[in-house]
Amino acid sequence: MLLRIPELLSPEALASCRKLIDRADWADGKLTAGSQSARVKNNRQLPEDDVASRAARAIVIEALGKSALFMTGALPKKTYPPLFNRYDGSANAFGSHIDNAVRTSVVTGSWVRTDLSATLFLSDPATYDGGELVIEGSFGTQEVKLAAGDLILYPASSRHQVMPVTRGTRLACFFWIESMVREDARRQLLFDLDMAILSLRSAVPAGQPDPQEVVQLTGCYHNLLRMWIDP
Amino acid sequence: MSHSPRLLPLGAMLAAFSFGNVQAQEALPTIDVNASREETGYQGLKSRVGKTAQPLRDIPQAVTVVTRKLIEDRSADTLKEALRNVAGLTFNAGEGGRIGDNVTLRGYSLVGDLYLDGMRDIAQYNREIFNIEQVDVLRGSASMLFGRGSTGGVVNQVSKKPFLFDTNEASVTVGSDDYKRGTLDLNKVIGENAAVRLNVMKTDTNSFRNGVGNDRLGIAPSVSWGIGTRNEFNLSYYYLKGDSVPDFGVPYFEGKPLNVPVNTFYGLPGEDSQKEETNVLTASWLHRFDKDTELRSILRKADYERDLWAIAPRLTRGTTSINPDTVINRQAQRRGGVEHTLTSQTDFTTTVNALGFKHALLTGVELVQEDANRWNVATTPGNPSTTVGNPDPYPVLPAGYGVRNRINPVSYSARTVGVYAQDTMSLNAQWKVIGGARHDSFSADYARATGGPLERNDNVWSYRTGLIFQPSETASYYASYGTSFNPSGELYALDDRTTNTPPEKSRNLEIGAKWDLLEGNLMLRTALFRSEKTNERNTDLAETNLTQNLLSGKRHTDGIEFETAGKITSRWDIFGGLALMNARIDAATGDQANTLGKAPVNTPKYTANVWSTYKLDSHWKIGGGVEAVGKRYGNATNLNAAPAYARWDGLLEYQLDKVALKLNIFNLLDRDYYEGVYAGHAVPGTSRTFQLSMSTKF
Repeated sequence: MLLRIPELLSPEALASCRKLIDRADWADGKLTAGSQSARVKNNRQLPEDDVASRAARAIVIEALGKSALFMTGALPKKTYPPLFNRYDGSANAFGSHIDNAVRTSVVTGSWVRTDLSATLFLSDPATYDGGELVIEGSFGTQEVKLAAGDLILYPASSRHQVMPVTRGTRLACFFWIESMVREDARRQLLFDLDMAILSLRSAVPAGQPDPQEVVQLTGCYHNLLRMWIDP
Repeated sequence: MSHSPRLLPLGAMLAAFSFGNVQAQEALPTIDVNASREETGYQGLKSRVGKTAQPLRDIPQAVTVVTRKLIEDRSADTLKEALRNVAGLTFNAGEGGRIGDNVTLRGYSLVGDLYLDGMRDIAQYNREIFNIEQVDVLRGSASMLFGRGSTGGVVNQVSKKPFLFDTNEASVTVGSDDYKRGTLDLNKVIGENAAVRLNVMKTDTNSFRNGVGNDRLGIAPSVSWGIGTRNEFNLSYYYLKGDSVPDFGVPYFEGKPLNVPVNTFYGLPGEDSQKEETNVLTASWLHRFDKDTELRSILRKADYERDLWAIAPRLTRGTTSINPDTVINRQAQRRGGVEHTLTSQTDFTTTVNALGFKHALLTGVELVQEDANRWNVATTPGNPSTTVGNPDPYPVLPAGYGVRNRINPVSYSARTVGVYAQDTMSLNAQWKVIGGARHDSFSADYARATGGPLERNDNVWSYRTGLIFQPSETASYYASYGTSFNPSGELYALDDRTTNTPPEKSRNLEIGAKWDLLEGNLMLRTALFRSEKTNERNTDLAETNLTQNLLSGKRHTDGIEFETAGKITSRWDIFGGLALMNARIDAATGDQANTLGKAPVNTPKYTANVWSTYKLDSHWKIGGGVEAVGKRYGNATNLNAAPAYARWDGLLEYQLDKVALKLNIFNLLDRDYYEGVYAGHAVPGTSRTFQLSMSTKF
């Protein structure tokens, strides 16, 4: 499942976030790469303990916590503290790779199984050329280049790459999620069901009780969750 | 997607949720955020010790960074405790007119080489750590950056600064010998680019030494605005007050510290005191022209006061045997002083492309006005003597004891004008060449009670040059040469001879390597150095009518250092260092002739330290380490020495969501050892003690 979450960051949050990281000290991106991906990784990252990175991370986390679409799409159990990367100049691409199955936080020492990968775009796409996130999955190959503030969620099990940035700077925030529902297909089914129920409910006039069918479908949602969840 | 609360998707209502250890603000109530403190490690990545913020790999000298995390894990509560992590560094016991921190690095005293945020913090006091973010130790001559001094290197304390998110931390510690300490660290965002920070500390403790104690209070508010913007301002104030019963240890007998139980104290706990008060007010302005060009100006007014009333124990000259009734003389140590410094530093940094290469340029001006008044206190009536085996801490004191009659007042003032420039030229992606020079104009005036005024003016050039080879992103090799100088008036003292004596000259030659291992998580470095003073001040007894000190002394320290810092795995942190040194006095004349061929004071052949912690799970962490120091001489004639020692420390920590409990044990094996060394006495290091602390983030 590819799930786009538009305007995860409000324009104000985006501006604050950009202000913090624009001035920060960028380090080599290989610091967080596994041994396979280190060979193809050519970008820059903010050190996890950098003050600017910590402050910008707090802004992203606050936005994630408020995003119903993110919560329902990811059903997150654990989230890796968000990181920031930068593609420009000679450090401008990240070749085809697959994310490590387990990420151990340098910050906390606790680990996250990476069910989902997330990329939050922070640069206006008009300000740079290239930099598409190319995801190869069972659904075919997708090229993703979103507006600043938008988030894309995709299965961490898919191979993906970031195409070379040939003009300007591509800034992004990225992280991984361990979901309460491990399998992508089951998560997709729950998400579709959830969205359908939501659509039905929004047709009910305010103040009226939900129709019996909606209650039944809601029961189905929770019972499926009961079967699959690993909270 | 905008829904009324009733119309949230079902999935969004689920409860369990975690963002690791990061605190989310105003998150949905259904989110359970683990808000325990975020940690940084033992690996210092950057330092401003070279004037600009640089990765350590771009500094062509050995640098040790003691991080906040290391300071906290080891429960270090003073600068001195933090410096235990620095190989090649040893502690001198206070005496000889000096009060407070007194350390030796690579065989040379750092008395005039302690810095706070890049500005000389020369005053005599015991430095705290509650408002310090990290401690950088740059080794080797660096007068090109810092002006006078720096033969062995410099220690720079980096103050905590406000930043742009809210966090508060409080901690309380209790321990052996009635140890009690509380600290508070509050940071609050007060505007779009503005924040305030407040650090407060109170410590009150006794000691394993009978009668020794220490009380101190520190308050450090600061405010920054324009953070990250074109113009960034910071205003900070630092207040530290200390009141202690000072410890002059035990005298030497037959060249070794007197063999008595380490808790034996020969002072007078009811009378002895060391009172210190420090006030530092700093304003800074950083203007960014563009990404690579900035102008940084700092102005600081610092005032220090001190008062010492203490006892140094001494055996009667000619004592040949010791029994419990042998007399210990209590030598009066009574003096005080005030120091005031006004410092202005302005640094301009930029990068330009010229002659086909990229140049990182640094240029700056430093102006310093220093004023000091010092006095002794009359030693009559004297201190009653006592005995080796039965020191009486509360004897009947003579009438008039405690009256502070000031004598021998001297006043001193000095002005420094330093101008410097440095170019770091990138020849290509792998090679960098560094060259820099500084000119110091240093003038000192000295007024004394008798003998008339003295003055001394020196104009000195200092240089630093280095070559850096970085064949990959994980390896950096360097060779460097730097000079330094010590003018006669530098430490607020001049006499009839030194007033006519030009500055001492020193130089440091070093090759070294810095590697990043384990994908950058672990730093390893090594350095091979020769540090030499080519014309040390000596006096010639035969020429009693000489008006100038002969600059006939020479000495050197050869050494090799190894250091590692960082993570071996995500759970396993390590910090360790080893310094092997061979130091010798190569030339000495006059009344120093008997030091020829001897080892300089407090310069052991080896010092080593390792500290390591391991996270067993998300709650428990264990840690431990050892500090080993070779035999050191208390005087340059090598008659008195403190024996080698190894001290083991341990840590057990339990981390909950918002609270951490930590048990530190110092000197686990309860070995007796002496860590502070001076010509006439040696001060024992702590016996086995524990400290339990609780800290919380809110």
